[in-house]
This record gives sequence, structure tokens and C-alpha cells, in this order.
Amino acid sequence: MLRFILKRSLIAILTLWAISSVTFFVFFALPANPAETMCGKNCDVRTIAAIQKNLGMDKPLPKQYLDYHAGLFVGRDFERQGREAQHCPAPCLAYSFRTNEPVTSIIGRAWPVTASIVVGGAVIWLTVGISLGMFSALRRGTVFDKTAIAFSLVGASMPIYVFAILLLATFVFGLHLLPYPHFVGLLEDPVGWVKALILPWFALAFIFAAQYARLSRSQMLETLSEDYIRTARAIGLSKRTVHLKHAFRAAITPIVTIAGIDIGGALGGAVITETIFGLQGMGWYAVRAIPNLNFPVIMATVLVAAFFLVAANVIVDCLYAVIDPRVKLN
Amino acid sequence: MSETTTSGDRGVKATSDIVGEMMASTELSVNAPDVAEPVRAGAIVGRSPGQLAWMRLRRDRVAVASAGVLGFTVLVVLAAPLIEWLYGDDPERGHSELLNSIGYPIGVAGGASGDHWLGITPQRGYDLFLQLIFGARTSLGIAVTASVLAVSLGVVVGVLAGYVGGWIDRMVVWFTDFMLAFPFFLFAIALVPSLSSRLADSFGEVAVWKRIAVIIALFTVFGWMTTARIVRGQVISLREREYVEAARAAGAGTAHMLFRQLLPNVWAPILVVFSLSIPANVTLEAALSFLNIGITEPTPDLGRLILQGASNVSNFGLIPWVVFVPALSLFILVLAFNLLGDAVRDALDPKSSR
Amino acid sequence: MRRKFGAVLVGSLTLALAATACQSNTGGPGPGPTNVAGGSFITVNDAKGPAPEVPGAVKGGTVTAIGSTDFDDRDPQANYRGDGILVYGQLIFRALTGYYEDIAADGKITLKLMGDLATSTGTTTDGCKTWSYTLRDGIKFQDGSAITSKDIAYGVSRSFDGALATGPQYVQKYLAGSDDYASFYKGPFAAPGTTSPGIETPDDKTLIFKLGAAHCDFPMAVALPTTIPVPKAKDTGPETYQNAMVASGPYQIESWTHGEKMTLVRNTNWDPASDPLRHSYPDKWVFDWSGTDPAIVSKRFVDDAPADQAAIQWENVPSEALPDVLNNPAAKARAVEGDTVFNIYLQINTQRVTDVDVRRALNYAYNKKAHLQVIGGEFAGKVSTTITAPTVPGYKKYDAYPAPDTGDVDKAKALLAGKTVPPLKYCFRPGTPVREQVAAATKENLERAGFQIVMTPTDATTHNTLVGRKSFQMGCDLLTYGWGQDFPSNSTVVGVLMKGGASIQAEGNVNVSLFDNAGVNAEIDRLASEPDVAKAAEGYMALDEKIMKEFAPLIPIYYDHSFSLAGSKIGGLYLSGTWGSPSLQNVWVKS
Repeated sequence: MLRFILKRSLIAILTLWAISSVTFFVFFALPANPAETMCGKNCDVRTIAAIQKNLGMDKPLPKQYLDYHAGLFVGRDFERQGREAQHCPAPCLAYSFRTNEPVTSIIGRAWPVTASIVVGGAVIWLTVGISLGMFSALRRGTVFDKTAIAFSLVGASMPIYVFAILLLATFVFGLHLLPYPHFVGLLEDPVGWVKALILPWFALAFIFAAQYARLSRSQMLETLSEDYIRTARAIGLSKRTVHLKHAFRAAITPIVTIAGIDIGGALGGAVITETIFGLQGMGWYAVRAIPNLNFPVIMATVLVAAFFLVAANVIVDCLYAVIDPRVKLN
Repeated sequence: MSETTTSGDRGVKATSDIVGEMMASTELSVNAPDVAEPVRAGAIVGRSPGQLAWMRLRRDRVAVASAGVLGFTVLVVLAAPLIEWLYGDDPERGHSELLNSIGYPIGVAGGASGDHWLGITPQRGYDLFLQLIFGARTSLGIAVTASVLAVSLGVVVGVLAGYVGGWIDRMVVWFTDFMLAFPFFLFAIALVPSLSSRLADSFGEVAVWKRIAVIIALFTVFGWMTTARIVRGQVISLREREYVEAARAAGAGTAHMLFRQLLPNVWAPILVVFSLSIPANVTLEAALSFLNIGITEPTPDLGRLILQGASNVSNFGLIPWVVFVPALSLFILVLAFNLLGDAVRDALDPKSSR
Repeated sequence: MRRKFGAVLVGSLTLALAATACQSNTGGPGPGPTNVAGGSFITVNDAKGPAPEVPGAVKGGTVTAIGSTDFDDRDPQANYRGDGILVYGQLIFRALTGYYEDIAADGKITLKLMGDLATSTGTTTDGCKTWSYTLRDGIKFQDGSAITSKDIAYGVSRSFDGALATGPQYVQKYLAGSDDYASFYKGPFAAPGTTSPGIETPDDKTLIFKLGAAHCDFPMAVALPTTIPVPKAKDTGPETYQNAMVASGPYQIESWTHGEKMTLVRNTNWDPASDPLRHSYPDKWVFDWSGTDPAIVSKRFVDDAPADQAAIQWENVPSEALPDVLNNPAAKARAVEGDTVFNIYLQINTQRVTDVDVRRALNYAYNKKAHLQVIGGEFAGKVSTTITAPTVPGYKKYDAYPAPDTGDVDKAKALLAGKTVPPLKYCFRPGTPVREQVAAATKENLERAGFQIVMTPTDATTHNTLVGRKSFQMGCDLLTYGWGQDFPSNSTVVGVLMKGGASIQAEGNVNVSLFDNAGVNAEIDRLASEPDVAKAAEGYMALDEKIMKEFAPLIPIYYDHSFSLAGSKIGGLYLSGTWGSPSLQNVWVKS
């Protein structure tokens, strides 16, 4: 087991390194003039020169590449023309010259928001989605099943930006049931936290719940037709035991796997949800960084999102090996 | 089961959250390797699996209706220039004279009239009916092309990895994982503008076809992994089957092995992935417009139309058609794709009871 | 001056500001009032604090301003966007001189230029070359230390640093006596321990500027943020001082997360008796830039939910939200509306489109109504026919190319008869639906008249750099570009936009139509040295009309208009004609 985890982690690190290299290439080597692109508004020749110097772009590309990666592990100093160097402590993803802070401190602010949205949303979508799917599989062909199928099809066919705007128009501006979302920390004001996040949770959860309902329904149907379930029934085990202990456990395995990756992916930033509800999470920062040309931030969010995805992959691989007895590790 | 197959079997998952948020249905393909067991050759009745599937599909009323919707859409989209000519307007012509001073259509029901069946759009005064048809043409053109390219690439990669095996397989598996770990959407918002500026001609103009090409390329580069994983898993499990062994023992060449023995048996999951990736691409392309990248004015685009509708929700009384017709059209289209995709999967699944 | 949100204007304004209007030795607009839109502009040299009370206003409360774009540059000497200057000047920092907008009962605004940190707007005895200031008593930084003339001298000196070049450059250029101020003095970071040559501080209360050339508008130039005092001991450098700026006005920065949120609290060391320009009714100010979608922000204001009642919308109501606002009388009553100082043009490259009849035909063909319909009609702007905006002193309405708002295609075609016009390259900034719809409208409405328009979207990310670069401008035939005065004088509008010769620079060139006519250049020089302000204003306006009639170097499209909302508990809010933003000068919170 340990060997397996080590091997997977090693591959994951390799993957992250490859992603950071590609990201570096896209931002530093692909644009015609990266400093000018990063300079953004109010740019003049002197500012461009300063940025070039700041980001070390006056150095050859391989050197920049090494510096960039060294920063991730040991931090780095950004040189300044005739001034004290700007230190960026490890893990130095980048330094945002527009906001004058290491990108890690931006991520420190943004991540709790994204995590609040995703974790809350995930609780809803997993509960609603899986129970809906499981029950409709057990009551196959009934009105309940057909309603559940209709719900999941609607959810799966509705773009989230349409659904989110409808939610806002209905609950905030139409019925005045909820205030416009203003994020507050969970520990500061738990009620305010729920109030601010309830709409984003539902927006995110509706789309995902539909997918999980479809997925768990088909998984459950699949499992119920397996021979061992028939055997379990034949030997006289109660319906409850068969469904919960045997069928459910087998059916849920692949769903756990996928949920892990879904949550890992969303932790990198729920771009559309955050944008529409004005919540300053990772996705909000990434989108905001585009017109502001804060390329260090965009780059960092790409890396952080990749980190969560890769980490989720490793965890899920290990979980899978633990949960599913059929998987042999070698 | 070996470790490598584990990661193949784990299935395929949309990577970035946004893809998850919007790619309504790709997960379905997750269980494709498990669910869609290889169709057993030589069924008792003497019908080929394809014939069986086709029969099942034809008997499925939902599938027929969905296919009808999609067929009609394709027809309308292909006949767009003809419709434009008969209708007597241009989708890119702004009717400033039909708007009031703040850019909203004069008259009832969003300016709907005999000349403009669904009224006109606010601000620019485009004919909504033609914008819808030409917008769907752009969006579907991108989605279908990207899906065809991505699935083909996925098949090639998957077959290569599964059939050849060895270190090539290991590399492909790693590379697939690597590509899946890319936060596609974040990457797209960063890449599209930068790439487009590279493609500008000496005047700084980026031709429409180049923009479309960039988006298609992006969807292809980030869209092949699902297919590749599934195909690879299938090919590995088929490789060891007796009939394949038999063919190999009989001295069949590589081409014969691939095209006569292996590929026909992986069609089922490929079709499913293909039918599901089209709506995913339509929504994704629309989402790119949501963040102001992608296809730009004045080229009509379904995603942009939906956005305009969404931001005008409160103006429903003024421009009802603009608010809900484009969104409803995409919804129906995606629903039809999803239903047809499901039906195709069921039809190709030998265990399906339907 | 840069526009709010920087949507239209050039990035860095390396303004080639020639000698501007010289008049009586008190500087400013002279003894008699000069007419500005809806009011007048006067210089007051004996202003004393505190500022007169606003009727009905009470102290207390928190005001939130909700917008989507932060002020770009934060360092006091680098800030140059209209709304940023306004917030800095009215709330956080004091400068040598400043403006107070006196609102009469009938709503007419009298704009008063007064001494701020200084007791007067400045005195000169040698024809505007040497300017002396005496500082007020009781002026303090937020840490309680007294503000001395050396702090102001240091503030001006640091504005010479290259890293702060995005700020206004008038004072630097005036001191240097030339546009190339960088070779005159490099700033206190490159040359530690120095202050700019030409600034003398014989004692803590006296400040003397010895300019390189005579500039009678110096009292207005020192009202810009360049003269904000900076305590040298607290200055950590041009990149980092913005993280710990020392306030001199009624509020100090409690926290500022760039691009997201800024919180201001009272500066207890600010003495209202020393300040004739500022009130300080609210206890706290919050600037919230998290509102990503202006349409949703507008809906919040229409809704007037309790959380948003003491809030101000810090951007225009977008067109999607307009019907909603207009159909809601209660919301419409809370609108802050008025013309700003900006005028938006479609610039024609006169060096590429050399045939004046083609340029005239373009003027006739342009459909200004279609353009305005995209951005919000009369709530976003009013059809413009002049180079000078109505807010500029001396403005007089004329129309060199009379046509309906939708353009006159027949007149354009008549002018083009028998000519072969090559395809015209139209450069525009892409990136938002509105920008792209405007571009599509422009192409369509010019093509009606038979022009062929090649759409050339610029790189949205570097647009602001590109648009001021001559080599880029040379690659475009048509370019959308707007401008607003830096202070109430046409010398900062026609005087810079239409000045050719050496003032057309390789970078930061604001003469986007690259218009260079010896007669016009000479006239601008003559007007700059005209001692009578009223006469100069009249002369600029006559020149404006002559340029449009004879040369048509641009198409005036619209005079910018501001239309935003406020919550029901906001009192004292009005639109400042000087800054083109809602003014925070008199704002208070109703209980």
C-alpha cells in the first residue's frame, strides 16, 4: 500500500511539474511581449522596463524558468532597479505587482470562500443526488423514478449561468427572501455565512445533483442486476440488508471516486458561480485578473487548481484501492 | 486487475470545476467501461449487434423525437443562407431605427412584427430570428467539429496505447492524467486572448475563422482524454479475448486486427462519448462568451445571445423573446442531445432491458 | 484626465502641455468669474476653515461605494483617474490648493479654487515664473506630526520618479521648463537625499517654486495630487508606499485590498478649522469593488435593500438595467445624473486619410444615435458636435456638419462622388460585449455611405499603451478616443489634442489624429500666452470651430454623461462637473 501511495505521489509531482512548465511557457514565452501584456492599463515604456526587470524577463528564458521553479520551493527575491529586492517567501507562486503582494496571500483570502461554496454545495449535491438516484433505482418505473429522471435531465441540460441568474432574479430581487450574497467567515457569523452561501450552494448543487442522480441511478441498477445480489436475496437476507449493505456499498464506490475529483476540481475555483454571485473566491480572482492583466494571479490560480485536481486524483486512487476489494495493487 | 488498468477504469471525469459545472453529462461515460461491456459477437438471432442496437433505437420514442429535433436543427442550420434570403433581412444588420433612444425595441413584444418574427435584440437591433439560426450555426459548427476531432484523436491514442502496450501505454496513461489535471477553463481564459493576438494579421485583425479555429483546437486538445481512456480500457480487455487471439493466431495483420477485430467492438462507448460531448461543447462555448472570450461581434453566436437574455431577465416585459428563446433553444438542444445519448447507450448496452 | 474605469482614454498621459493661459498675478482664472456649465469658476484667496455646513447634514454612519474597478494606481503621486483623484482629494489627502464646489439653492454650482494646505492659491511677482505659498496653521498628518513645506517638496520631488510617471506631470514639466522632466531631475529614490531643483523651503511654513518657464495656471496644476505631502521618514519606496500611505485629510486608510475593498476611518488629527474644503460627516467609508456585474449592482440599488441603503453606485447604470430604473420612480429619484468633462471622438488619422472631403464625409455618415443606443442613450451621453466639451470654460455650441443624429448618408455620398476611398482600418478595443457592439455599429453605419471598414481589434490587454503610441496610431485610419480637461481650461483640451509639431511624441501621444497644421500650432501658442483668460477661452473655441470646418480631423460622437444610483439614506450627493464623478464632498448618512 505504502509503495503504491508513494508511486502515485511521485507521478503526481511529475504531473504538477509538467503543468507548471506548460503554464510558464504559455505566460512567459507565448505572448509577443509578456511584460507589456502584464503591464496593462496606464502602461508606458518605463513601466514596461520596470516590469521586465522585476520579473527577471531581461534574463534568458532558461534562467527565468529555473528562477520561477526555485521560487516554488525556496522563495525568491524579485530584483528592483536601484531598490531593495522584493522578497516572496516559499511557496512563491508569483508576485502580483499590481496589488503588491505575493500571490499566496491572495490565495489565502480567496480559498476560504471557494472552499465554503464547494464544501456546502457538495454536501447538498451528494445527499440529494445520490439519494435521488438510489431511490429511483429501487423504485424503478414508478412516478418517483420518472420525476427523478426528469429532474436530472433538466439539471443536466441547464447551463449554470442561466440557472444562477434565475435564482438571483427570483429569490433576491423578486421575492426578497434572501439578501444579496455578502461573504462572511463561518466563525465570525455562522448565520450570515449560510445566508450568503445558500444561493451559490443551490446553483452549484442543482447542476451536480442532477449528474449524481443519473450516475447513482445507473450504478444502482447495474449492481442490483449482479449475481451476488440475487444470491443474497435468495438466501433470505432482508431487503434492507441487501440494499444497504451490499448493493449500496458496491454502487457507491465509483461515485466516491468521481465526487473526489469533482470536489478537487471545484476547489480550484467555481468560476461561474463566484462571478455571478460576486463572491471573491479563486475563480473570481482568476476572472478579475484577466481584464486587469494580473498574469501572476492567473498563473497561480491555474497551478493551485491543478494541484487540487492532482491531489484529488491521488487520494481517489488510494481510496479506490481501499474501498474496492477487486483492485489489486502491484 | 493491474494498477494501470485501475486508473483507466476509474473512469473519466471532467476536470476543472467549470467543466463539471457545465458539462452536464460527461460523467455518464464514467461507467462506460463497466456498463458497456463489449458487445458479444455472434448473437443467436443472427443479427449483428449494430442491427440490434438500431432496432432498439428505432423503437425508442424518446430517441426518435430527440433525433427529430436534432435533425430539424441541422436542416435549419444548413439552410440558414436560404432562410435568410427568403426572410429578407441580414442577421448582422442593426435596426437602429426600430429602437428607442436607450436602445430598446419600439412596439409590443420586443418589436415582433411580420418582418421580424421574434422581434429585435436590444442595443444593436438585430433580427432575433436570424440571429438565433445563424448563432446556432456557429455554436453547433464549433461543437460538432470539436467533438469529431476530439473523439477521433481519443480513439487513435486509446487504440495505440491499448494495442501496443508497454512503455508507450504507460506514457499515454500518464499524459492522459496530466491533461486531465489541467484546469481547462482557467487555462482557456488565459490562453484564448493571448493566442488570438498572435494570430492577428499585420493590421491586427483576427479573422473570424481563426477565432473559431482557436476554440475548436482548444476543445480538441482538452477533449480527447475521455475517449482515449475508455477506448484504451476496452482494447486492453478485448486484446485477450479468444476471438482476438484466434485472429492473431490465424496470422491477421495489424490493420486487420485493429479495424476488423477491435474497433467494431468499441463503437458503443465511442458513440456515447461523442453524443455527450457535443452538448458539453455547446455549453462550454457559451460559457466562454460569458467571460467575454470566444466568438465576437458581429458574428452571431448562440452563447452570446443567451448571455444577453440572461442579463435582461428584468426586462422580460420589454423583450420577452430575447430573454427566453435563445436559452430555451439551447436547453432543448442539449436535452435532445442528452436524451439521444442516453438512448444510444441503452440501445448499445446488451444488458439493457429496453 | 483619465476617465473613470479607463474605458476610453489613453493610458499614460505624457502630456505635452505648453504654456497655458497667463493672466493676473493671482493665477487661476482671474478676477471675474468664468462661465462653466451650469455655474461659474472663481478663485478665492482668503478661504478659511472650516467649510460651511451642509444644511440638514448630520455626522455618523458608514457609506459604501460599490463599483467594479479600483483606482488603478494607488500611490498619491501616481493616481490620475478622475474618480481616484476625487476620492483622494475629498477624503484622504490634502494638496497645496484644491477645489470646493459651492451649490446654490437653485442647484447652480460655483467652482472655487482655494488654498488647501496653503493659505492662498499662490502669489507671484515675476509674471508667473516664481510662485510662493505659506502653509496654514494646524495641518497635521494622521500620526499627529505637523505637515511642513518639506513634506510637500518631498511629495513633488518623488513624482519625478519613473515608477510614478502614471500620475499628472504638469508640475514636473513646469519646474523642468520642458517636457523631458526626467533628464531635469531623477527623483529622490535615484538620487537619495535630494529634492527637485527649483523648490525652496526657507522655513517649515514657506514653499517657493521657481519654474523653468512662466505658467500662470500653476495654482490649478498644484491642485492635482502631485503636491500631496509625503513624510519622507515613512516613504518606503514608490512601489510600497502605497501600502502604508499617511493621510492628511479627514479620513485615513484602515485597510485596502487592491481591486477588492478599501475602508476609510476618521483621521483624528485632522482639524476642520484648518480646512476650508472638506466636510467629514460619515464615520466610515467602504469602497467595494467586488460587484462583478454592473447590471446586478444596479438591481441592488433599484431594490434598495437595507444593506445597500447607505451606498453609492460607483459606475454608470448599464443599458440592461436602464428600463428597470426608469420604470421605477422611487429608484429614478435616487439617481445622480449629470454631464461629465469627457468628450468621446472617433479620431481620423489625418496623415493616412489626407483628403479632407473624405474626413467630412465620415463626419456626415457617422450614426451617433446607433452608437448611443448601444451604451445607454441619453443616460450615457449626448450627441457631440465640437472638440471642446460643454464643461470647458468658453464652450460655444456649433455644428460644422449638420445632420440628423443618425447621420446624413446622402451628403456623405455626395462628398465622396467620383472618389475611390481605400478600405479604412478601424482600430478598437475588444473584450466586452458593449465595446464589440459599438464596433459593429461603427462598421455598419459607415459602410452605409459606401466606406469599406476593416475591423482591427487591438490587443485588449495592451490597448492603453498601444493607443498612445505613434507607430500604432499610424497603422489605423479610425480610432475611438475620448478626452477630458485636467483643469478648467481649454488649454488642456484643444490645446493638447490639436497641437502638432514637436508635441506629437512617439509614446503617450494624445494627438491621436496626428493633426499637424502650422497655422493651428501658432494659434495654440498664441492662446497659451494670452493674458486674458476669457479672451483665451473664446479664442480656443473659435479655433475648435475652424479646425472642425477646415480640417475635420475627428468625428465628435458624444459628450459623456454620468447616471448612477444611490441608496435612500444617502444625503448631499451630487455630480461633480469638475471630476465627472458623483462628488463625495457633502455626503452624509440619513438616520
